[in-house]
Order: sequence, then structure tokens, then C-alpha cells
Amino acid sequence: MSYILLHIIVYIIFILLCTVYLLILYVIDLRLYHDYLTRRQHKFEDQWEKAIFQYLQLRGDPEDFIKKVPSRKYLLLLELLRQFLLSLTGSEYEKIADLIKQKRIYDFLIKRLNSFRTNRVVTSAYFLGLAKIVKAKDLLIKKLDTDSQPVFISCATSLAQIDAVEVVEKILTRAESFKDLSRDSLLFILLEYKQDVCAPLLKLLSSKIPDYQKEAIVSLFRQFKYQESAPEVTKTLTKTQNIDLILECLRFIREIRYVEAHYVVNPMLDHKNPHVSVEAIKTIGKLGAGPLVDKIFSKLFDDNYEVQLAAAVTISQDIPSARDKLNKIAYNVNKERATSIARMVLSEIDLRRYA
Amino acid sequence: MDTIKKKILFAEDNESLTKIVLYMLGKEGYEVFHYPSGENVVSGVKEHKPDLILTDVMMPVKNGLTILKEIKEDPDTKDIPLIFLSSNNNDLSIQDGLDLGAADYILKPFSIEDLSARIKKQLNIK
Repeated sequence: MSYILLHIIVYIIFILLCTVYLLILYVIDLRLYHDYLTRRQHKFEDQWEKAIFQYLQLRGDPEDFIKKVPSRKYLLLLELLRQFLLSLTGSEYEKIADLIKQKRIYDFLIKRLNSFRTNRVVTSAYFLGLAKIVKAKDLLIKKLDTDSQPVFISCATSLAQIDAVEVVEKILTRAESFKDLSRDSLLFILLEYKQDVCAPLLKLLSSKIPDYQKEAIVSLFRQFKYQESAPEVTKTLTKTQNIDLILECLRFIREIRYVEAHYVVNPMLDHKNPHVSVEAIKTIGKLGAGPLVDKIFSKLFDDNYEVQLAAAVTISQDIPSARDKLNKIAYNVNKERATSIARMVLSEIDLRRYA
Repeated sequence: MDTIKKKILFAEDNESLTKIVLYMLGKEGYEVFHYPSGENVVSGVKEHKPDLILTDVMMPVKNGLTILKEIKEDPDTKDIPLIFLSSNNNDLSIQDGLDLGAADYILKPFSIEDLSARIKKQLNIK
């Protein structure tokens, strides 16, 4: 019996050692392969970089340029062009994008876009979007029906870069199929659009879409400072119970200083969720505290530290009429937390002033 | 271009952007001193006395804002115009840079033509 047990243990150890050995070999192989790819890319760049600069300087013919590059090196060329596309705008960007628009490169990308391998589709969509190749739009739209989240994200991002505003609704609809797709991922896609995407998104904000999508849309409006959406965002704020969406609406109202939203924001000073209360204090500070100065001042003595801090910062930055009172609190002899916070906020202002 | 080569100190850690800018500055006939991090930029400015400094804002070791502060504090270097290159389209960051005395602020990605024109403007080259 003990002999059999020993045999099994030795056997297990042997299997484990073999697995570790194979893993080490795999890691070494990956490392060597990565080094090989890097060397190959550098060699290609050394060889072709000057040619690209000359092409840019002499306003060369893109077709002639591409003819000189062997088709097996197209991926290396694309990687080199990527660096130019990310760094340049204007006519130089257009000249580099013209290279990718050439039939040989375009066909190469489309072939990969239709591949079954996810990474090929993703990289292909990436370059089509980066070079803003409008003629690939229909193919990219078809790809939105994929079951693969990376493929969906890359194709939707490319469509946004091409500014295909007409498919933004489809992007939102298809996004619902991916349970792991976060608000940030959706916002990442939408931010690739130009500001003209705001109008169709404004219509969608009042429709029945998930809260995380509304949140992404409001965040986008904030980043574009899209004033026209203010009444609808305010309406969204009155209807929702979703904390993240409430916070995003408050940030938007604060950013564009939408004074008409005062009546909705004011009651939120006493919201049971401290995060909402914090955003409401900051927002009212920017909209104009008016009769709410005392109310905000009273928040200096709230139970929640974040609320207290928001009140102190808001008073110091946006409510000059209450700064004397904040000073008095700061010079108070007692050991209240409000005193410490007031001192901290005021000393930070002093530090900035004398920086 | 003036007969005496104008000197530009260029600090940028992004390799591909560096290549593009170095190519452009070289083509325009400037003498360029490149620094891949913020570490030795201030001493480089004292050593080379460039006509213009072109620097990234976010860099390893020392960021562009700190470099600007140190250059403005030194009477020998305070008058050298400094242009920031930045990928941060943040109003506050731009304001901070301009408040500290930056001559200009160019957002990445940028056009070579635009960069060239704004450098020439600072160097008073027509």
C-alpha cells in the first residue's frame, strides 16, 4: 500500500516538474518571440523612416510609395505609420492616412477585418479608424453585430473616429448585448466622435436606455460643454434614483453653470447619500449660493468628512460672503473637526497664493 | 532663416514624436539639443543658451512646469521663450503654464506647419 502511495507521489512530482519546465520554455519562447518582433520592427523603421519623411516633405505619390513596400511587411509599415498618425494633424496626417487608403493596404486591412481571429479584426479596425477610412464604414457597421466584445469595441471606436453619427443608436443598442461593457468603455467609444454626435444622443437620453448609458451620454455632454442638453439633463436628474447618474448630472450642471437647475439641485444638499450631497454643495457654489449660504455653512458641521470638506472648499472658493465666518471657525480654539478642515483649506489657499 | 543657426533645446520622452520633431527642426535648419527626460534640461539650458525651449509637460524625473519655474528663476535664462507641448487639453494645466511664463502651448497631436510657424513667431523669424 505504502509502495503504491509513494509511486503516486513520485508520479505527481514528475508531472509537476514537467509542467513547470514547459511553462519556463513557453515564457522563454514568448520573450524571444517578442524580442524578435521588436528587432524586426526597429530594422524596418531604420530602413523606411527616412523614406516616409521624404514622402512627407516632397509630397510624394502614395501609390508609388506603397508599391515599394513588400506585402509581407505591411504590418510593420502600419505600426510605423501609427506613430505618425498619433502625433500629427493637418496636411501631414492626411498624407500618412493617404498611404493607408491605398488599395493594397486597404485590401490587406479588409481581409484581416473579415478574419475569424479576434486580434486581426481588432488591429484592422484600429487602423481603419485611425486613418479615418470612410469607405470601410459599411463593413465596420456589419461587424457591430459580432458576439465578441473586443471586436465590437474596436469597430464601434473606428466608426466614431470616422464620425459615423448615424450608427450611434445602433452602437448603444448593440452595447446592451455585452454585459461586461462598462460605462467607461462606452464613453471611450463615444468620445472619439466629434461634437455633432450630441444631437442624436440628446434624443436617446430621454428614451428607455440603461442608466449606465445615460451616464456616459451626460459625461460626454459635459466634456463637449453641450449647453442644449441642459434642460433634458435636469429632467433626467429629477427622474432618476441611480446615484452614479445623479452625480454625473450634477457635474454637468456645475460645469456649464446651468442656473435654471437650482430648484432641482438645492434639495440634494440634504440627500441621504453623502456623495450626492458633496456634488450638490459644489454645484450650488458654482451656480450661486444666494439664500443657501447658511445652509452650506451648516454643512461644515456635517457628520461626514467629505461633506464638511466640500463645504469648506466651496465657501473658500465660491462664496466670498461666508469666508469671514470660515476664518472664524479656523481660528476657533476648540478641537472640532470643522476647525481642522477650515484651517487645512485656508492654509492650502495661502500656499497657492504664495507659491 | 538667419545666417547664424538658431538653437533650440527640445525635451520630449516620446520616441516617435521626438523623431518627427527632430526631423522637422533639422529640415528648418535649427541646431537642436534633445533631452529624453526632464532630468538635465535646466543644466542643458544653462550650458547651451538656446534661443528657444520646446518641452513636453509630462516627462520622467522632472516635469515641464518645474523646468519652466527653475528657468524663470535664473536671471541668465529667464528671457528664453519656452513652448510647451502637451497632450493634456485641460484648461487649468494650460493656465498654469501660461501663468508661470510659458510663451506658447501646443497641443498634441499637432501639425508640423503649425509647430514651425509658432516656433518662428517666438524667434521673430519671418
